[in-house]
Amino acid sequence: MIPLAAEYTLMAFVASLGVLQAGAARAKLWGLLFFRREASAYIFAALSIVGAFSWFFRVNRNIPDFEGGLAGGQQFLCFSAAVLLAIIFTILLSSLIKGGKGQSSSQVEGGQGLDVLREMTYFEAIRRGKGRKGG
Amino acid sequence: MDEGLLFLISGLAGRFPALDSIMSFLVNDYFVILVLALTLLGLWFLGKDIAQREANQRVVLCAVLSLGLVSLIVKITNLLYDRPRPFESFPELLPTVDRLFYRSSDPSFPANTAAVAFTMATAVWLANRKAGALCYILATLFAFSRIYVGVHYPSDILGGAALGILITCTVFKLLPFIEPLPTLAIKLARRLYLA
Repeated sequence: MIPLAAEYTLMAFVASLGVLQAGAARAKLWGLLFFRREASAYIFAALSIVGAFSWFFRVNRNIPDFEGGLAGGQQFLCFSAAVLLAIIFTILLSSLIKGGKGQSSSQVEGGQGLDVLREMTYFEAIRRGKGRKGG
Repeated sequence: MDEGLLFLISGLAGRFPALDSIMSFLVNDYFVILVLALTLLGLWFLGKDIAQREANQRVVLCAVLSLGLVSLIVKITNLLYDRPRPFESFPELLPTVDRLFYRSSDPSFPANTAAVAFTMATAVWLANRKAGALCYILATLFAFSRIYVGVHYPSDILGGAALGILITCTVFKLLPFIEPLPTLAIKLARRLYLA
């Protein structure tokens, strides 16, 4: 049997993946998307969020924390870990899927932070950032 | 009045099976809190331009700080004032509690769950009024369900909600006074292409 903390973290991880895809699609962050089309990202987001919640709540979760339920602090830690993992997974998968196929680099110099990911993947952004620093 | 309102609301339990099912689901410790937390995560990425996105990100930082403060204040209050749960004072509520939820063991006042839910809802509201209104509705339903199943008095909920709203608004107002910390956090995240 999987401990509740692991199930909660897995559910939060999958739901966070969905939120990240929806957020990236809405903010037009092409470099973070798993799909070419924004609509696919929204569909993925809806499926992962609804799927994660449906899976987790397939059983009654009204469990006191002294009988295996998660206290507030534990929830915070599990959620933070899940979000961190979801960010790393999103960066890795989107960069690997798209390789070095950036959309265009015409506006990259003017962009900063997340905006850079409108034009290129995370790995490309890191590489170019290092390149600029190196001269 | 507090007890009267408690019995008025918890008296609904057992009358409408569908409402019982909805409340038994809403009252759980995970669903509403997670929806609100995911909303804050989504907020981090949203904004018409970089200025609005940075404003949203400041609100998310404000929510994290406020959650820490609210939890601390609730813990201190619990140490100073150990109010029994309604089902401890009124055993006739026990069948409802056992059927729809469980017997919580920590002090009743203030409602920690209401404080946390209203902290996050307020943070969302500070960034986006429409999304914030939806979050307030969700937080209110969550808080209501706690009275419905008999684990909190209405005054516990009011205390928790007021604490959450007050602390979040205060932290938001005081953010400029702890500069450059919020700006540094956002700049660091921006360097990592995460803000």
